[in-house]
Amino acid sequence: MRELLLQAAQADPSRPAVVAESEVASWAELAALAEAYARVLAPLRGARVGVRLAGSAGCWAALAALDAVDAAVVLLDAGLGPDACHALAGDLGLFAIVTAGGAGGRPPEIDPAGAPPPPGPPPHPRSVTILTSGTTGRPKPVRHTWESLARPVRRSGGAPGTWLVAYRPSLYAGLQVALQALAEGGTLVVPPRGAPPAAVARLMAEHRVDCASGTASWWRRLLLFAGAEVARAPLRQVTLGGELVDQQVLDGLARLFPSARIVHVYATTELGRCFSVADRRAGFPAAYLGAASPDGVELRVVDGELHVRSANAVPDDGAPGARPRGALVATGDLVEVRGDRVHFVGRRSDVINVGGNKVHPAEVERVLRSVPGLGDVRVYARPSSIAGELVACDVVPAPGADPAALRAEIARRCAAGLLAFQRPRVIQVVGEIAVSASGKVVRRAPR
Amino acid sequence: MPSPAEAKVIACIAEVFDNKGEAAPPLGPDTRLDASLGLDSLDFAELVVRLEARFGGDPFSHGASERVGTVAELARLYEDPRWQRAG
Repeated sequence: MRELLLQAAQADPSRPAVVAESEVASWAELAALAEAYARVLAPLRGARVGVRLAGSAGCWAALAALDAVDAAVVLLDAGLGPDACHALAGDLGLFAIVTAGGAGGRPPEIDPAGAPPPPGPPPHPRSVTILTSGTTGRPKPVRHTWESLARPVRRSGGAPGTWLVAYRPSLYAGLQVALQALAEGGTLVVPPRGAPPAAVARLMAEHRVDCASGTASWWRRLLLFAGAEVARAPLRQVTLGGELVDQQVLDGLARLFPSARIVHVYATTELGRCFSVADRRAGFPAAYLGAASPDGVELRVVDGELHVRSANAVPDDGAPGARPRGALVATGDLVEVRGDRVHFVGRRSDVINVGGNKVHPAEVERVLRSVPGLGDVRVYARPSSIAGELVACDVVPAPGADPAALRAEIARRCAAGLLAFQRPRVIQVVGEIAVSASGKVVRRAPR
Repeated sequence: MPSPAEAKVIACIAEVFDNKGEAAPPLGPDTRLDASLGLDSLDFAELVVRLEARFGGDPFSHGASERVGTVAELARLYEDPRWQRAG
């Protein structure tokens, strides 16, 4: 982390490194900030420390500084309140919580979290623990190292990008984008939390963002509510990840950005980056299955589920989230091989059981997305005392569409295009589709 | 003339037909809720979800096992104090 930062600062010191919280910090400023912070954070040498990561220049400088003092960092969401932070600190045995400001030179705050200073050498120096939300609602710690996080980062040799990160910086996908920008000596643009699509589009145009990375849900929402504005950004790379990518969203992006490289990435926090596809088609080539890729990733289909062995996974040192070395891990993603293509069908945990019949929400969403006047949709299970579960959906009308006409058209299309058990029995018209902290559509309440 | 509860049941049945893209047949308190009406078991499950939204409870999730033959009988079940506010 620290070496990458210093390298980039030497290559192009005046280039903006981080644009966040209405501040622009150059690489030279970021490097100076990291050096200054290393002195302030020196007392945390080797300690287990939480970092509240908002994505500002100060946060990245603090991470580089903590790397320099061999701390074991746990990334905390910047939106967590003090009470939630202290509760987590107790669970995770944190010595302190670091909060860093922007580029303005305000030193990072060190909030003692109560755990005693670790005796002897630190157990996992320079580790980076990411908290995933999982399906249980309780955050699950997954311990990477800077090496395992940086391993999949590509240095293309092309011009450094100006990257917009649509993920929270404290999550695996967000860190990947940040490390990519860092490794290229590019620029990282972090939109304000909860910024509406139009504001994000303006930010992208203003800062000449040419690479952007987000979930399929995030891109859909951006296209739906700010398509015309976002087309003004000079995008040459569009990256999607984190959830199933359907052909409709790929086609929508290709229409808007005809010359951009459109990539969907398959990665999980535990397995790291596994593979990516850039041919603008949903799914991935069946040729990826079988032998391990040069990158050290092996994909198999076992009982209709994607299994992965990944060299980018959490290091196998007994870390939380690590599996026995070389284990093939079931991903929970159901796939179908059709011809030369492997198609994602949906998450195993999202399957809806309607009176014994299995329904994949993504299949129903595909039919609904072809309805004129529909902006966005989420299909999920509604408990039923009679059938166990029924299919329910939230729909967002496209701008200008009449909700009543949309309902009628949905009923007509579903009656014609879906089996009785697949048909949404509850249709709610909503303003926008609910997504989780990781930007993904939520289909199950946490259990 | 249907009672207010019967009118709610009738409105919900009409919605189930609407959602199938079909026109609802004439409905009244004595309409029989069997195969002759054109509702299958999943349609009935949908009807119960819609009734829960209107009445604020679901008798069937609390063990109601009465034979429900007609619209009037279904309406009576939802008005039964044993299932009131039973969600």
